[in-house]
Amino acid sequence: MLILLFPLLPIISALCLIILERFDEDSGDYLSSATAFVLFAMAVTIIFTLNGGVVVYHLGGWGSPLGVDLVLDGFSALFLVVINLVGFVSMLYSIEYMKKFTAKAKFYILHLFLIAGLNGIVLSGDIFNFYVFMEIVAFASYALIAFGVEQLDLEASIRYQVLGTVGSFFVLLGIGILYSVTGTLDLADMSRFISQTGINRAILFAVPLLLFGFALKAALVPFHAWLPDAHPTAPTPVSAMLSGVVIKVCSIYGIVRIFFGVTGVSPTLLQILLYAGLISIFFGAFSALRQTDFKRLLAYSSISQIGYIMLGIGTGTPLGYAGAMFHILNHATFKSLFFIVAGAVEHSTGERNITKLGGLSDKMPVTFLSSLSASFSLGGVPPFGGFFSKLLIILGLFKAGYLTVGLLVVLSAVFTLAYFLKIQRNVFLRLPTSHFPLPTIKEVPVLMRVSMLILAIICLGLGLAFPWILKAIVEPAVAVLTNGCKYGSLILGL
Amino acid sequence: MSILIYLFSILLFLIGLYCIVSKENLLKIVIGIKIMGYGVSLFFILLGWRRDSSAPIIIKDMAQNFVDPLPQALIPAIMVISLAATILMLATCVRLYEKYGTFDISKIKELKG
Repeated sequence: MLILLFPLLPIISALCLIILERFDEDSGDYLSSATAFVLFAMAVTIIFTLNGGVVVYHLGGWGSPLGVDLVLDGFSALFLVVINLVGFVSMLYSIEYMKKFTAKAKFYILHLFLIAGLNGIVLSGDIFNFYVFMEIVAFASYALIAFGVEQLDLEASIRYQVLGTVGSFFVLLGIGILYSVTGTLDLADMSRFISQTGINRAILFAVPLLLFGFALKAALVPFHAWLPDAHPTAPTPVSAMLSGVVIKVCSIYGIVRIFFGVTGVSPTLLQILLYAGLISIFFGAFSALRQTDFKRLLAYSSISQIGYIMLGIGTGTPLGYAGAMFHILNHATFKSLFFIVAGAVEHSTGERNITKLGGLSDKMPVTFLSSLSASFSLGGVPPFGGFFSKLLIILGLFKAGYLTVGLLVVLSAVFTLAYFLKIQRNVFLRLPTSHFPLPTIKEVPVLMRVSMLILAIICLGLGLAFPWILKAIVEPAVAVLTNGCKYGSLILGL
Repeated sequence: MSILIYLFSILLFLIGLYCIVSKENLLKIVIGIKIMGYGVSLFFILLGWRRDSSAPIIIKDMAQNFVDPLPQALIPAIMVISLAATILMLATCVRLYEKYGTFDISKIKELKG
């Protein structure tokens, strides 16, 4: 019953907010932050109580193959924590940040629907509901990207809308073909059917369609064109959500749930993921090096980091999976932190071009410390979380026999180091250019500082508590990947 | 022969995709997306279709050949979603036209790809 609240609670509070905003424009501040905090607390509770188990909730009491059900297993629990942590921090940050926008309440309504859709995706045990929630997320993010209604916002939004809708239609076509083969929409039932009858040609046709759709949503390299426009132009709290959570949930979750759990993975598919990931890592890192816009640099870095996760999944070994799962957690924290640091810098100085900034380390100490924490995690400096996840991915690659790829990934760490040093030097450490009004700059308001510090501490904590995190969050998620097609009989057995 | 009818819906899907990638007018791209959506909807309808079958209504003591009702139930959801997508897209197009005075995407490129 509790898990139904994850998609339902944000929708209820969004609907309340639609009425409340007519009376009090600021009512959204507290309502949406409180909702996000309750969801985050619930997600943490689930981590402590789930213990590698599986919870199934049948909507309306209808049994599994006939009715629609919500499924919570280790992999969903990992994503629930990520979504609701970043959602909560982003809500907290919006209270101050969104003051310069009009129609603040509408922003909160869209943001709550975004969280509801994300929670719905990771909990739905039904492939059509998966699609519907994916569209809720997509619409909320299209509207949020265009929220500023300036030229650039609209242009980025329309690009994302066209490409995202094409991706959704490909996923839908794949779902249709899977339905025509199995005669069911329930993921567990579908998985059992396919593991009993084996793969046929229609499923082999559905897999590339789904993969194409998910790759568009994940911005893997040939399909990345929308991401560097869409993520930086959105308001900062939304950039943090989009880069930290949305691209992972809409793509990696779908890839793992549908390919690993239902259709089964073939070595070819793993190789495609592996090499697409490798190309994304280098493309993202090289492009990030050339950027001068702070948030655009971070968006390219997201392409690169998503590549690491795909690479980890593509190794096909439990060690690589563990690295990928842990990197999902790490990337969500440090990339969201980096985006809100960029937002804080923009809030104080009104400038996003890093060649014009400088010397902010004295003026904005909290922002500087947070950005250091994010940088160390991004660059893989021990004992921050990013070090352990990249180590696990590289070990997984070596164990699977991809020696050259492993060495290339080690090399890619150098480029990552290069672009985060570029940020640190240009924004915080060097002396500013002469016409930069440094003395007038003040540190950002308290709530923004608090939200940055929360994520900064979590970035460090993920590394320090690495053995515990591995046991409590990552291992149940890895078990879902290694179980593969046993997913169906496992869920239906409950 | 029976597979041919499915291929036509895929063809509609591909026509829409061609329209999206080849046209430069935003409104034509939106139309292309609609055509793609119709292709997918038609595909779902065809999934439930059986030759010489009746509507899925159970009449007592009568063995009947039904069409599959589930895809028909999914179609309204897909239609609503694609309607919402079109509305949002057209609203964005209107705002873009106010800013740029054109629907030509080769002229709307402030962002550097």
